[in-house]
Amino acid sequence: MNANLGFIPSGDQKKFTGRRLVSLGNSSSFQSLNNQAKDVSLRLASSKDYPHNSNSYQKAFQEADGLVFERFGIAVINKDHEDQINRLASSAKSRKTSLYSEPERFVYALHPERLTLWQRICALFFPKRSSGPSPVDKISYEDDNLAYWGIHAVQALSANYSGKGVKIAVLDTGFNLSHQDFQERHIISESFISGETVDDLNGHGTHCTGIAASGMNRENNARYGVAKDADIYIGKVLSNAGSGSDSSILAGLEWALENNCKVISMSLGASIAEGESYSRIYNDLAKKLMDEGLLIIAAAGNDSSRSSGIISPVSHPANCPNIMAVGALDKDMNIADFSCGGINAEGAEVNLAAPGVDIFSAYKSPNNYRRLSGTSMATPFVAGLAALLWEEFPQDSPSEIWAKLERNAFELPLPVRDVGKGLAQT
Amino acid sequence: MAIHFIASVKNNHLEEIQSLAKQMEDKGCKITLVAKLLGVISGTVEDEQSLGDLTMDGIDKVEIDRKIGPF
Repeated sequence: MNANLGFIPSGDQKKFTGRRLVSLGNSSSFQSLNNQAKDVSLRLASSKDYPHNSNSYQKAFQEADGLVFERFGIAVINKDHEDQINRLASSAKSRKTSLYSEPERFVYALHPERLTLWQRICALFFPKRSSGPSPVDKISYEDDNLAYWGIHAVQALSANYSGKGVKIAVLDTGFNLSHQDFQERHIISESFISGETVDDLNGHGTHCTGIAASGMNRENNARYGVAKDADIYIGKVLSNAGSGSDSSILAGLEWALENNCKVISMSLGASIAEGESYSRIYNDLAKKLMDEGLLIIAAAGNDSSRSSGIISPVSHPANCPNIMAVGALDKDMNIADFSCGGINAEGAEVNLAAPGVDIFSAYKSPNNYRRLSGTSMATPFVAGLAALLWEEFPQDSPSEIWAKLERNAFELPLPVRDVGKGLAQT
Repeated sequence: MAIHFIASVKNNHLEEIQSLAKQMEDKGCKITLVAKLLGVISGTVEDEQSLGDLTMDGIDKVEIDRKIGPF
């Protein structure tokens, strides 16, 4: 998908179209919404009844007061219907569901060419892949009512897949099993830390799991996780104090293999010195796991201090050639100050980059939510995307999923050393 | 000072992994993990010099077990 969609326009450019975008939450069937709309004298059309092109949508907006995109849980309502939208929202509130609306924005491409609503909708249905270097001068993503910025950046809202049936293992500090956003999810867990249950008293593991596999924040219906229907496997390999060892990770890897997981997300590691080589044992294991159908995705590490001119090498075990290493980006698509770079030889490179600064996700109790930064946060975005791909291409090998992740990446005007193939995307 | 290690087992010796772990114990190692599917053994030896004793038939590579933390 074109990564330029979703910009917040600036300067003198007109920001809003006059229409309103309405997020329909969980009760998003056209039939049920249409029944409610009729009660407030709002005429809605379903996008399913119109061919996917701008002319037919234009016709839909002339024939009705609004158009419902059931697949995305979104309706676009013509201007001058604020009162009816407010009444719909009140009605939803009385049924203890939620319905949010916001002004529809114009979306601007690189050169400030205005995208109309039709172009935007067509882009949603007919995503285009970027190819070759982008002339983008500035890309930026923002949180909004629909999703947090990282989800927009990886284009998860426009994905046709949700990771359903794909097993993601998150090897980390465990998980907040009582978290409200996960009560209907299929979660298998195991602790490999002596004397500690899976319950995450650290918060890091819960945060990473939320990015990889949550759906929406139930408090505001904004999306923050990528593979919202994936099966979640929690391997606690780091203690509540945040410490572990290679052997605890190996125990977690063995468990993930036993359970036929497809994606292993590891937001952990150890620093590597400049010139230090990768672990042959881990690299052999990663190859063995790939042969068995598992792909390991790991954090590149946070040892850099780029603002001070220091770029540190990709950490262990992400520096293994058979493990995909993920660097971190901020919302303006700058490389994060702390993100490690591919400066060591022998394959210790960054393969992809993903959102990793000021990332909203689930957290330990009692806070339950928090914003964190790190290549730890970037890694589960890619793990979630891998799960989406595996749902779409269930016969693919890990190497093929790896190649697809790289091919789908949006090339950024940043060094390959820092971001690999670029911003990971659906 | 005790040294924590991880050791990988050669592919053609995977079925002997328990036996290899036992041999390590006999040499004074404390074994903490035998990962049969991965073909990895982890444990502790008394000192760095004892790591050399782990280089036995069927063992592929031996490395220090690193401390790992969250990023």
